[in-house]
Parts: sequence; C-alpha cells; structure tokens
Amino acid sequence: MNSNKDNHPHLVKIILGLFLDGDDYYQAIGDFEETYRYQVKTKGLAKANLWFWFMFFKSLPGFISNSIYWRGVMFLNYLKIALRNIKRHKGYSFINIAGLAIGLACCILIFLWVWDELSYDRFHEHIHELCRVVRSERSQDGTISRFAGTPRPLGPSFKEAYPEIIEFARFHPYKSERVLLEYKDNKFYEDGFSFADPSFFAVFTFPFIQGDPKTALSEPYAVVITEQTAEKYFGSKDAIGRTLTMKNWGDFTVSGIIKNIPANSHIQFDFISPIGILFERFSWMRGWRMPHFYTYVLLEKISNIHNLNAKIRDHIKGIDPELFKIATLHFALQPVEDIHLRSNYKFDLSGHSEIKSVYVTFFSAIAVFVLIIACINFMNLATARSANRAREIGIRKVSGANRSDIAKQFFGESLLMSLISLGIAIILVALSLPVFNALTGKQLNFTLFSNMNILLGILGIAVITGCLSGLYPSMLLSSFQPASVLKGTLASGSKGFLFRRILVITQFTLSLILIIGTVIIYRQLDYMQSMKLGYDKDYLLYFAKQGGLRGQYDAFKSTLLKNPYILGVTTSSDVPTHTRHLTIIEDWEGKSPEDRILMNYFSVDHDFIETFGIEMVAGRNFSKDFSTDTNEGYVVNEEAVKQMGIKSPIGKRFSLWNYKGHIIGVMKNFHFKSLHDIIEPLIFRIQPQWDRYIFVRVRSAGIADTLKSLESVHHQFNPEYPFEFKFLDEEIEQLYQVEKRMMQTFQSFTGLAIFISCIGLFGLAAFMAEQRTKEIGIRKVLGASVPGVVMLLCKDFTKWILIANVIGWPLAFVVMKMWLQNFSYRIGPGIWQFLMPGIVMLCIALLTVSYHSLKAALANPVDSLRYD
Amino acid sequence: MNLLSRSEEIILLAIWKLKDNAYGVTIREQASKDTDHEWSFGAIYKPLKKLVHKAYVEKRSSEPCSERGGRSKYMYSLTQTGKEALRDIRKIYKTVWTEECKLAFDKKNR
Repeated sequence: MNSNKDNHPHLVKIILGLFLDGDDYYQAIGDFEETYRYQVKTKGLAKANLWFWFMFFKSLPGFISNSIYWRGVMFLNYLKIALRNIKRHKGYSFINIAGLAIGLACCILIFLWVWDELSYDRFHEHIHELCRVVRSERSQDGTISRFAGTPRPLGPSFKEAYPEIIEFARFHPYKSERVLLEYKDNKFYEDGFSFADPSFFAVFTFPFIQGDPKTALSEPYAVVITEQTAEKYFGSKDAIGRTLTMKNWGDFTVSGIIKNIPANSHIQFDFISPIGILFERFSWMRGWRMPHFYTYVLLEKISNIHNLNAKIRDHIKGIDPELFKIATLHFALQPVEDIHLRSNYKFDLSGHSEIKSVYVTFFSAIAVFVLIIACINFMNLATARSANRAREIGIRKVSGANRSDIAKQFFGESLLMSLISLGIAIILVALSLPVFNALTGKQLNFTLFSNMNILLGILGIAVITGCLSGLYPSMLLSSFQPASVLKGTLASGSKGFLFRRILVITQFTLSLILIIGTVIIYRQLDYMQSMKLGYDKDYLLYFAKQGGLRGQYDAFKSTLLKNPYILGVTTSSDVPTHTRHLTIIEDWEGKSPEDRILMNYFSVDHDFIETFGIEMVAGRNFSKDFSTDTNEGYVVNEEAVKQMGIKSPIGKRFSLWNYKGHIIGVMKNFHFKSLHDIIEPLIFRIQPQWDRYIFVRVRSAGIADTLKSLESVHHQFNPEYPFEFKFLDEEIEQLYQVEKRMMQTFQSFTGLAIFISCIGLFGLAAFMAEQRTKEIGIRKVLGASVPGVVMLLCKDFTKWILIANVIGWPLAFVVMKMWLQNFSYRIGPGIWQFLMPGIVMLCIALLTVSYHSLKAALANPVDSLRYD
Repeated sequence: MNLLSRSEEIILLAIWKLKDNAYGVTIREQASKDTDHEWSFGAIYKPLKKLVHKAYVEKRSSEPCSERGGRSKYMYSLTQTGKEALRDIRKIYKTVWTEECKLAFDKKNR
C-alpha cells in the first residue's frame, strides 16, 4: 500500500480534533479516509485531494455548530447538577460561598487600597519624565543624610547647564507661620498656602476650570486657588479677578481656579502664588546654603536620568567649592513616580514613605493569605465530600464521560461558585467601603464600570480563585474508577486525606502568622505610646505666636501666669513633633579641624526647659540672672555632647554659624521627633525673633474655663487673629496615625481570616464526624465514654494546629522582625507574642470542632447503627 | 408527537434503505442521491447525532476495516421508535398534502 499518498492530510486530523472528540472524531476521520481512498482509486490523486479539501471546508460549519450544540446541552446539564447540589447541601454551600465571598471582598478592598497607593501622582501628563532633585550630605563619620529640599539657585542653574532639562519648577509650601486670609467677612487660617515658579502648571498637570495655566502665575500678586477654596471664600466658582487679603502680606488677585487636588497627589495645596513674592520678602533664602525649596525638573527623556545623575552629582563643586568641601553636598534625581512609596528623605512633603511600601507589601500579602484560606476551604470541603458525589461520577463515566469531561465539570462548578461569591463580594464591598475608608483614612470609590482595570482585576481575582480551588478537586474526583465507585468500595473520604491535612495546616499557619502580626503591631504601638518621651506631654497646648503676640509676648505671658490654672508659658521656634531646623555645626571648643555635625536647633525662652519638664544632666538652665545667656548661652542635649566628643562640656566655646557663645548646660535626651527616628543632637538658644509657637501648660482641673480665659486674653493682645490651638499629646498621636490605621486594618482582616478558616474547619469537622458516625456508635456500644469520643475527634485537629504553630513561628518571626526594623525604638519579639496566638488559635479551633464532636459523641448508638 | 426535521427525515430514510450497510459514507451517498444535492459530512453528522439522542437510530461499531485505515465503521440501524417516527411523518404528509395542494403545486412544476 502506498501509504503516504493514501493518507489524507494530517492537518485535518488536528483541526477536527478541536471540534470533535471520542466516537465522533473517529467516525469523521474514518468516513473521510474511506471516501478519500475511494476517490483516489476512481478519479486520481489530484481530484481526490481537491474533493477532500472542498468537502472538509464544506463540513466545517456543520462540525462547529454541532459541537457547540452538544456542548451547550452538556453545559446546561452540568449547570443543573451544580445548582441542585448547591440547593441540596445548603450548609455546605453556605460555608463555601460565604467563605469565598468574604475572602473575595477582603481581596477587593485591599486591591482598591493598593491600587490607590500605586496610583499616586500618575495623573500628571508628563509623569514619566518628571523628576525631583534631592540632595545628600555626608557627615564626618560617613553617615549620609538625605534631604528632599534644595536651594533656590539650583533650578535655574540646572536648566542652564543641562540641555536635557526642558523645564524646572520650584515649589515651597509656606509653613513658617499661620497664614490668615480674608475676603469680606470670611476670615480663615490656612495651612495650604504655597509658592511656585510660573512654570509650575507646565510641569504638573492640574486641570484649570478658569484661567490660563500658562499665565496664571506670571503676575506678582496672583493666586491660583482650588475649586473648594473658591467656594469657601466667594461662595461660587466664579472668582477670577477677586482679591484675597493676606494679613501682613497684602492683596492677592485670583488668576485661576483649578480642580480640587486629587487625594493621590504628593503635592497638596489650596492656594498657590508666584514664588517671586517669597524671594522678595525673605531675601535670606537666596544662596546655595538655604535648601528651602522642592525643585522639580521635566526631562526630555527619562532614559537620560542615569547620565544626568552622574553629571549633576557634583554640580556644586564648580559653583561653590568651599560649600562642597564642608558639606560634601551631592544632588540626584528622583522620579516623581517614586515619591509616594519609595523615598526616604528628611523634610519631605509627605514624610517618610519607605514604610508605606512595606505596608503595600503587607496588605497585598494579607489579601493573598485571605484568598488562599478561602480557596483551601473550598478544596477541603470538595474533596472531603467527594464520596457523596462518587456515584454520580461513576454513572457519568459508565455513560461515556472521560476523565477530562469530569474534570471540566468540577472545574466549572468551582468557577460557578466563585462567580456567585464574586456577586456577593461586590455587594459586601459596596456596603463596607465607608467603614474601610474610615479605617484607612482614604477616600476610595467603588464603581465597577468606571475603571476598566479595576473591573478586569476583580474578575481576574475571581477567576483565579475559582481555578485555584477547582484544580485539586477536579483532578481527584475525575480519577475515580467507575467500577470500584459503583461497587461501593471507595472508602469514603479517604481520598486526598494527606492533601487535606496539608491544606488545613497551611490554612492555620497563615492565620497564625496574621495573629502574631497583629499582636506584635499592637505591642509595638502600645510601647511607643507609653514610652517616656523625656518630657511631660500632657495638658500642654500650643498656638501660633503672631500678630500682637510678637511684640507683647512678655505682657501676654505675665497676664496668663496670673491665672492659677495656668502652670507655665513658654515659646519656641519648633514644636517637638515637627522640627524644622537643622544645620551643620562647625565650631566648638575641642573639635578636630575636620569635624562637622548635623544638629537640630530650637530657639526657646528661659522657661522652656522647666515648662516641658526636661531634665538637666549637667550645668544649668537658661537664667535671667545671667544677661549673657540671651545671646551667648547654649543648652545642648547628651547626644550632641557625645557626638562632639568633649569630656566636660560646661563652659566650652560653641557657635551656631556666627553666633558665638558657650555651653551652659546639658539636658537629658528627649524625643523631639517621632519614635521612628533615633534621638539626634539638639541645641537650644534664645533668639526671640525666631519663635513661632507659644506653649501653655494648664491644670487638668477646670480645663474648659482655663481655655475660655486663655482665649479672651489672646483676643485682648491679638484681636486680628482667631484663637486656634492644639494639644501636644494629640499631635504626638498623629505621628503614629499610619501605624494605628495599619493596625486597625490588620486586625480586621486577621479577624476575617480566622473567621473564614473557622467556618471551613466547622464544615470539615461536621463532615468528619458524619463519616465516623458508625465507628463512634460501635465504640460507644463497646463502652467508650463521651469525653473519650470527643478526644478522639479533636486529636487530629490539635495535631494539625500544633504543626501549624511550628511552621508559623519562624515565618512570623522573620516577617515581624523586618517590620520592626522601621522603628528606632522597638520591642524585641518575646516568646509570649508567639505562644499566645498559638494557644488562642488552638482554643478557637477546638471550640469550632467541639460542636460536632460533642454532637457525635452524645448521639445514641442505636440511631447510628440501626441501618446496618 | 415528535416531529422530525427535514434532514432528519431524509437521513432516517437513507438508513432504512441501506439496511445493514448504513454508516457515514454510505448515508452521505444515499442522501446525496435521493436529494440530487451533494451533502457534506458536517451536514449529516449533526442530524445523525440528534437521531441517536432521540433513540430513533442505534449506533454500534463494526470490526476495524482496512479501507478506513484500520478504524471501525460506525453502523447505524433504525429502532422501533425510529420506524414509528417515519410512519407518523408519512401520516402527516397524507393529511397535510390534500389532493388540492398536490394538484396546485404539481401543475406549477410542470
């Protein structure tokens, strides 16, 4: 036989294989081949080939519609069976769907949160070409301090020197004093007043409602305001050309109105004016030593960034060699995209952000954990209950279903479950979003169809969940041998026992890690809140020192101190939560020529140390008895002494820039920044014109009256400014807001994860107790006691949870150690923080299991054995 | 009464005519011959499968044969219900096609 010629093209077999299977396929191939061979014999090869392809293409539509029709029929059958199963086993379906729905809802919420975190600043048109210039300074001992701020001449100088930079814009959020703005009767303090170069709106994309972005900042006293600000002052969005009066500054003419700044922008402001006004007013901001600005540059191509980084690194060398030498000052470019999540610079607009990327990772991990736990529930119950469906599978196989059909059926069922759960999850998300927003401090929206990516993401999560949880059951169930299944020899529930055990252990390991995480985060926050700061933060309130308070501070103070409920009044340049003054100290007695130290400096008055309750270690406090203290006295902290390396500091020469003086006292270290940072060197000096804040310590008793009288005295001395104050301890709590939110969110999700694990365990226990009904009956007949039977049933679960503990501890330890690295002052993970969650989890699990164990143990053996 | 579709009817009749030799190839030939129109395999498998599903025909596989490259033929034969269905359709034709209809349409063709 000339076999090659007689065989029709191989391709056809493959194509037919796509549409037909089993008998249909063989029949079609056979019929084709037979006719083809007949044609070859009678009409010759060429004609036969022609006929063959003609016939093939003519048949194709029939094959396709045929296959779709029969698949449709089968699909409807699968659907019917699946829905019947859901209906018949209500408890089991509820556990499955509820678990998956809660898991998916958690996942979607976290997904929205992560999405929001990742979306920061992405709305700018040129975001991919936008960079911020940052600077770093190396101190004597080699530590590098990195700062977000850059000096005023940097922008123009860069643009001139490097053609790769198309445009630059400097930005300065004005925080030195509280701004008081006025339009007719509307008078408000404003925190969001900023200054920027006219090119600001060319570099960044903030859509204008009114006005022209190109010229909005070109007039000197112009101001661009946001929509909501326009509403606040003018009651309408139509505000172009109106004037806002800023106390002590003058009149600003509104030249543009922009849409409200999205919450996911790292630059936030309500008012923005040309930066020229600032230069005019504060001429000392001029030089390369005054890094008071955030400089953004627009690059031609982002691929230039590496080359450019190398070039700008030593930019200062050519301009101010001396400054380069003393400060070892370097510049670098940081993509604006990275600012929100991946930057760690001092004096940054939004604080340290590196920790936020840790949280993004943490939260994503929780989402995945919760989802895995929910999937495991599904797999567990599906495989455990496989015996109940064994007969159906047997019949299907006998009637001609092959393994892949069965696998497809169960795969499809789990997809159906996950889609039903998705529907419920979406409702859950919509309901719980306000709570979630309150928890995380975000303003997330959940509208399914507004964002294609989110919709696809959510669908993707559901499909992945369905696939993950359907994979194992479908493989296991489809492997049943029909003969043994129908004979009834399949030991019920024995299949996949090992796998199920592994799944439960995984589930509890994940839950355990979450519980340990919650405990450690809680302990750390508690530790930080209860940690001694080194001063007394309670009943200490502060407000801005401005207007009439500036000139008449002494009179104001003595008036206040007449009130017996006011214990102390003092003033300073910084609040110990937001310190802003940092400089290089280069001159003290006993230093080696190369020494330079980065130090924080406050201006204070004579009563600061006493009012705050800061302890002195050596020397003395500022005193009115020594007139030289006002100009020449310095009080430093222990850390400064340590870094300067001097033995007996009292009386040593010391100068801050050109202000020469002596160290008169050493104070004990206290925390003047958040506890994320270690204590840095700090110096106090008396320099009244720098003072910005007034602190008042009040008695805890009669606080409302005290505040009232405080307000009236304030009004008497400073009628033009409204009285607004803050309590220091509340401000300090604000510092740990991120952690606090993180913990609350973490707690909620941990709770849900445990809940999902438990309902899964509940289902599994119910099933296992049911499986062993007869065994228990026989045991009881033979004299087993109720506690004995309960023990028997709980033994397995206990074992699994113990194993989960052993696996979970090291994992949790490593992860939490990583998180704790973010804190300079942290708790050491103690044994109880690991043991406790383990015990708690064991108790929860045993409680969950005990219901069914007890029920099985208490059952009358007569009932369970009656039918055999 | 379960009415047959036209293609089902033709194929059912073809199977009856072919007696013991009804399988894909011969059924296609028979149907083509009867209708004077070249049927594709795709066009006969679909009604065939439905007929099997409705239990009008039975399908069984023969011994492997060499002209099919060693594959079995899938032989079809009418069942009792299949015969009933044909009888039914015949009865319907008789009542639906009255003498008047026949006269009218035969004339036109002529």
